[in-house]
Amino acid sequence: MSAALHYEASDLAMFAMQLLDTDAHSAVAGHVRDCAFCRQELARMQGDLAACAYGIEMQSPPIAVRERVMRQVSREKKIVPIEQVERFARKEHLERTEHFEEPTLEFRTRSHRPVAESIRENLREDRLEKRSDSRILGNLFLWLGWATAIGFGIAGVRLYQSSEDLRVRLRTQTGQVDQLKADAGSSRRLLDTMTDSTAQQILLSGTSPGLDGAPSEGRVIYAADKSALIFLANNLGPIQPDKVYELWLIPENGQDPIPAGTFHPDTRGNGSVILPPLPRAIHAKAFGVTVEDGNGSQTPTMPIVLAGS
Amino acid sequence: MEIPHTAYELRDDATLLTQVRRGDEAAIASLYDRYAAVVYAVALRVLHHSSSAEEILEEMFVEIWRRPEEFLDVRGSLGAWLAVVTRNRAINGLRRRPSREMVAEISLASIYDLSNETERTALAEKTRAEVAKLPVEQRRAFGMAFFDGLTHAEIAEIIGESPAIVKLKIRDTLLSLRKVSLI
Repeated sequence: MSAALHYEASDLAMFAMQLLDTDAHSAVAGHVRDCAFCRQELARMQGDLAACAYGIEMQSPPIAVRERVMRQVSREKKIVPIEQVERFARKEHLERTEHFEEPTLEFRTRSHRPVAESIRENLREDRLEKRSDSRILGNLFLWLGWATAIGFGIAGVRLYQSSEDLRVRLRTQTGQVDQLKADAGSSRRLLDTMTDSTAQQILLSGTSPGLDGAPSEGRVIYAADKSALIFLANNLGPIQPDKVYELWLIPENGQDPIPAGTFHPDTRGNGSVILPPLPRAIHAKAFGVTVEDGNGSQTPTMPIVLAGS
Repeated sequence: MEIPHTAYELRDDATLLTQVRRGDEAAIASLYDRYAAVVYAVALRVLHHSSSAEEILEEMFVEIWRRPEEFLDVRGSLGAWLAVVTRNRAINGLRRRPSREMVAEISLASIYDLSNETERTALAEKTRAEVAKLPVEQRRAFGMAFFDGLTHAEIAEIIGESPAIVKLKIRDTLLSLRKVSLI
């Protein structure tokens, strides 16, 4: 169909809805490109289609989609690219020189030739001066453009570095805050256990002489409902490096002893187990300490070096 | 200084797009709040699948964020443009074929200022009223073309009419909707 003829509205409607096959679609697209009349009718059709779309029941999308879009938007923060600034500067320069128009002046009075020549000379000088001014101006803009681009580049790099520094500092401080929170939580739990009036307080005594012949002893504070336990021992004899002392909780209900933490005594024979992980609400009948291999055992190995109930 | 959210709500699409071009995240959020419902509703109506509709919605607005200048050049209303392009993309998704148009290729003639919520509501109500007046068969044929992406030949086969009649019915529906703009 030539540009003089026009497509039927029904064909344009099918085209607007993209329901024509590929060949027919390309033919209409080609025609519409050159035919203002059909282009106008097509624009109206598109407006009608938009009206139709607005006629359906509106649906609010889930909030999560908005969050995803905004997250993506934040990830793709916009920075005016340096390249654009440079391009702008170059374009500005080119336009100024290309659009320089030389004035066309002519003097025809032969009887005043010397005057005319002098004027011509002046005009030539003026023109040269203008050209030179224009060239200087052009160069100035070029350099200004480059300087701006470099300035933006440096500022961008500095901004990026400073934001990275801030991010690293924030991460470090967040880690420190988390650590402090955890420490404060442990301290609070320790204090609560020590001051808990319902906690069991059990003294453990040694079955054999400890360090320097003095009797070894220990003390357990145990709050069963909070599964919180504090154990302090002194005068414990030294053990081989591959051995550990292990504290055992012997349940009231007759179950097997529960391992309640391992420890190495210091050179003065002092050792402790603070807030070990324990099952909840196990009431203790007694506590004992044995010597075990490596990292401890799941069943106690005789003999018991400290015991108390 | 931070601009209050209500100030964004009152701005027209072109102003918001200019701000998006400068990297203003609140401006894109405002455009999203303005048009997300229509984009999602159209995509969902065509695809009948919420995750796919969400994908199209996300894609449209991320595209606006990435290339706002292309949308500034959109001839006609951004709101109308979004509705039409969403429908086309959803149909293409349905038919598993690549998108046929570029952003700037669609021109729209719409007298409504769809950046204004009152006008959006008015258009929706008038359209619904006009569609309700159409004969059932005509409405059905148009729905198959617009929402299901069926060609006039396919529709003709389903409803037992000639393809030419189906084309006329579709055209007549669009012309009836045009009356909505003139009322």
